[in-house]
Amino acid sequence: MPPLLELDHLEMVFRGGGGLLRRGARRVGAVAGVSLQLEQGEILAVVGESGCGKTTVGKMITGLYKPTGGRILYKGADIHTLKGEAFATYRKGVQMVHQDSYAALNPARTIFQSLGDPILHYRLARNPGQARERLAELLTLVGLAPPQQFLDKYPHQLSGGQRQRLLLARALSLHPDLIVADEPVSMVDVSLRISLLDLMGEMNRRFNIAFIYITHDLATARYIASHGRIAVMYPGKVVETGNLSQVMATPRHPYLQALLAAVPIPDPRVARHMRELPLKSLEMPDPANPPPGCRFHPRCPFAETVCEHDEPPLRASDGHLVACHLAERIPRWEWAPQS
Amino acid sequence: MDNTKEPIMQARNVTVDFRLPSRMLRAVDDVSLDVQRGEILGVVGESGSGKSTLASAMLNVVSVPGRISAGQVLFKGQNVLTFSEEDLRDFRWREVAMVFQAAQNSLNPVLKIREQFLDTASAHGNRPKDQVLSKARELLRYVRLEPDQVLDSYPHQLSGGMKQRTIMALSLLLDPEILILDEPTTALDVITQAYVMNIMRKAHDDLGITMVFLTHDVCIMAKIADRIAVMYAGQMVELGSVDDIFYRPFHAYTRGLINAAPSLTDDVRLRRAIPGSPPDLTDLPAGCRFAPRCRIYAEGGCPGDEKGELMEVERGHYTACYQWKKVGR
Amino acid sequence: MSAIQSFTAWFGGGRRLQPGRRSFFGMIVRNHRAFLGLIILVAFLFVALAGPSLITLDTKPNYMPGARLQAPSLAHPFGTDYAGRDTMAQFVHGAAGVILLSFATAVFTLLIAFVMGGAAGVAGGSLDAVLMFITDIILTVPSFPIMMVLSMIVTISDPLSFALVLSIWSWAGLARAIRAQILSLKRRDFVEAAHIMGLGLPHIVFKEMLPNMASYVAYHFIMIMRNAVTASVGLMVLGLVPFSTTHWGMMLQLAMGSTGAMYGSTAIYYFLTPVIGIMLFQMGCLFFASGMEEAFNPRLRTQ
Repeated sequence: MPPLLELDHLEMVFRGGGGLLRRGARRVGAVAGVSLQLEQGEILAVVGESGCGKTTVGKMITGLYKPTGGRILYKGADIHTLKGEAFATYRKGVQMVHQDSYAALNPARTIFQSLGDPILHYRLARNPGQARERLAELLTLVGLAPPQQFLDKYPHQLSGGQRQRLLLARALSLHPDLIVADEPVSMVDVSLRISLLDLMGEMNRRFNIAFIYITHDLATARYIASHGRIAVMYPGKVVETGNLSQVMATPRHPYLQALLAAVPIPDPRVARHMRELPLKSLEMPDPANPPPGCRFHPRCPFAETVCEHDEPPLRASDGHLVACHLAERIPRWEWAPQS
Repeated sequence: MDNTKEPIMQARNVTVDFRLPSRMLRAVDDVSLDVQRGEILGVVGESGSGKSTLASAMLNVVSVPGRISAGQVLFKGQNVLTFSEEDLRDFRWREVAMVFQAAQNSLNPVLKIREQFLDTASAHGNRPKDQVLSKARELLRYVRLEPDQVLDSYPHQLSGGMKQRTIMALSLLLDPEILILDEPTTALDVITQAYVMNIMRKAHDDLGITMVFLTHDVCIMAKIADRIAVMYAGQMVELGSVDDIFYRPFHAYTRGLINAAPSLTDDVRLRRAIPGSPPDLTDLPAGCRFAPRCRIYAEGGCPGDEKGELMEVERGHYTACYQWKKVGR
Repeated sequence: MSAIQSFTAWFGGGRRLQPGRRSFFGMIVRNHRAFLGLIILVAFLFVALAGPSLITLDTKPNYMPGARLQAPSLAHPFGTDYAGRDTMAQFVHGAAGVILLSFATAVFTLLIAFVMGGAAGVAGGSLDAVLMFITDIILTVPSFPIMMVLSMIVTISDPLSFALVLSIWSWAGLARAIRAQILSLKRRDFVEAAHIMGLGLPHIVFKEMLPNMASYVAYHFIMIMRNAVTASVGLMVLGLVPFSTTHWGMMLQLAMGSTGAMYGSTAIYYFLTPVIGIMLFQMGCLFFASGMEEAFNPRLRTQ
């Protein structure tokens, strides 16, 4: 039984710039060789800062971008070779929840129109009346009750949290196997984030829908994928991946350790004593001109000569995969401060 | 209000109203707040809390259709709201500087950074150019930027993190006594965010600047704040030391906020969202504004009919919740 | 006018109105200028449709002394023309032709602009380049001289063919604007979402993008109507399209050419009638169009 989704050495190179002054088209390697697997009903958190390519990976998985290298296999088949019926199945099976709920809903159409169209298009309801019923069920499922109150409104009349639930409802309406959620809660108030994440978790358990949760926020990633897996990305590549609780307990890549040190902790006594991982520079590498060898080496406090020349492969270490030459030799990450 | 330290700026019963085509919106409702000299104060509030409007009121920059309909803002004893245009110009940026939300966008895209430093300095008084530039260089180095590289760049040539640090340097240019930062790290990556907060702490320790941070994320205040004020639906609902707020909150909203924030080390099963939705400022309940979402109210532990006024229940710890004793941890 | 109504009906999709929500026409009513514009246009429409049956056209020339070029009076509210015929009747009968002409021009122009700009924006790539090349050529060549030449070559004998000629050279600017709108809408998240759900190109163009362009399109529709009147009058005054004597442009031409109206005398009333008519119609168009943006914006409607 092939995995639900497989990314095989995925690459995405954008051609930017060029133009009249002929400085040559810049090749921007947003994704430079990402391989991942996802099983049915699994939750995978893809974590990284902005510019690491995680959003690009999400857009490739949903078919918005065509990869310039590598393949995306949905249920064993390369999505870019699918046609007709098989392609329609893929389209229904993989859905996306966007970050900005206001931009992801058509401002000139009511909720009923926006959410009803896909249902009618795929004949999941045969007429508008049936569509209304289906939507009422769906809205109740995501916690928007009474549904009638929402169906005839325009997006701007609803709050951010409500709109985000609508995006989830829309993604669920086609009975997908996989939902790619790109920073779904970062534009929502902090007090509401957990309820949205709980909702997604519930959808995952009830309907066995796999989730790819893309975020820069490690805390929410840990919350939603506590029983799932994590992949940490650094421009264009995956630098550490594995079972989330395992990876968080023993982070081996210096970048992940730096991230963990930087996440704010809502406990003053602990927070005041958290040690910092001093990085040599704050700047992310330019994707058009990545540093040779390990991409992280200019910032890494542990970098040695080998790091400047050879790109580290993803290899097993401590029960999960890490892309670092020195993974075994760098100090272990201490959670509890010495207080 | 508590005066263990001397207050440098005080908001007294400030009320700000917005007149919309069909109704009136009270963004800030009778809020009083003391900013103590030399402290780092965090004002925490989500959408609709009124914190940004309060900050604008304190600088007297509330824009139409908003109006400060009541209250005073005292800076060193003088009411800012009655200042003349000239006084305001002296006051703004020289005494109190403000870094707005998404400040990166407040850099003029067609001017080099060098020009922007010079412009800012000349807008608030006359200073010799080289003096301004050498100060600018010093400040840029302080925030760990390369002065020559940055001064000669246009904003679009700098990354988000670099722009944010440039703005911080700019805000310190005229040696203000108070620095107000509105969501200074929202658009930044985690590592840059931690770094920027460290710089702010360093600036505070080295220069003795009083700082007021406005944020919706209470977690980032845990490390550097001395006191935290919590706002909800235009009111101040709790005020206390950072330890008070995190370890012994006395308002159901504060407790809910802290419970709802996932962290890296907690037990995820203990996290609880705050039920309901953010308040609609045009349709507020007459009594306690948090009641519709309050656990205590839902369990019948509070009638919820009192609007709530800030009262000092322990030394330096104020709350507007009458059931504060029931807000367990 | 009816095109706009059908636009709104289609986009409305038959949903029920909610309390606190205004309909399209509700918004127009609230905006005083737009409302005034609407009233004027509706009045013209009434005149054009019902007028000819209410007032009969007087075609027999009456050269009795004193009957020609009379000033307005009770019997002839707009006076008489150079052949003693009632001016008002001519005006009313001409109105139908004028309005039909401007409406048809707007429809043709919009269709061509939409096809060209839309195809370019949606397809991109080489099709876009080719279409825009053609569009740019048409944009740079001055339209009025071309229309003059065209009207001499093509025999125009009815409002519809006239409308076609007028529209052939006026779609270019609008095509570019439509293309620009589509290019910017293409990248919006909700269009991306529709793409991910596999809803297909027709859906994306007509149901996702078009409602967001509605106000823009409606505004331009009205403005094209207005320009059509100007252009047609211009051509008629030059005597290039002499197919109907009651068209206001024709009236103007006759007034200027045959009666010495501009040198004083009671012929001035014969001259002024079409002029004021044209002015009023244009004003109506402008005022009504000014309310378009508001009326189509769902955010403003639900405040």
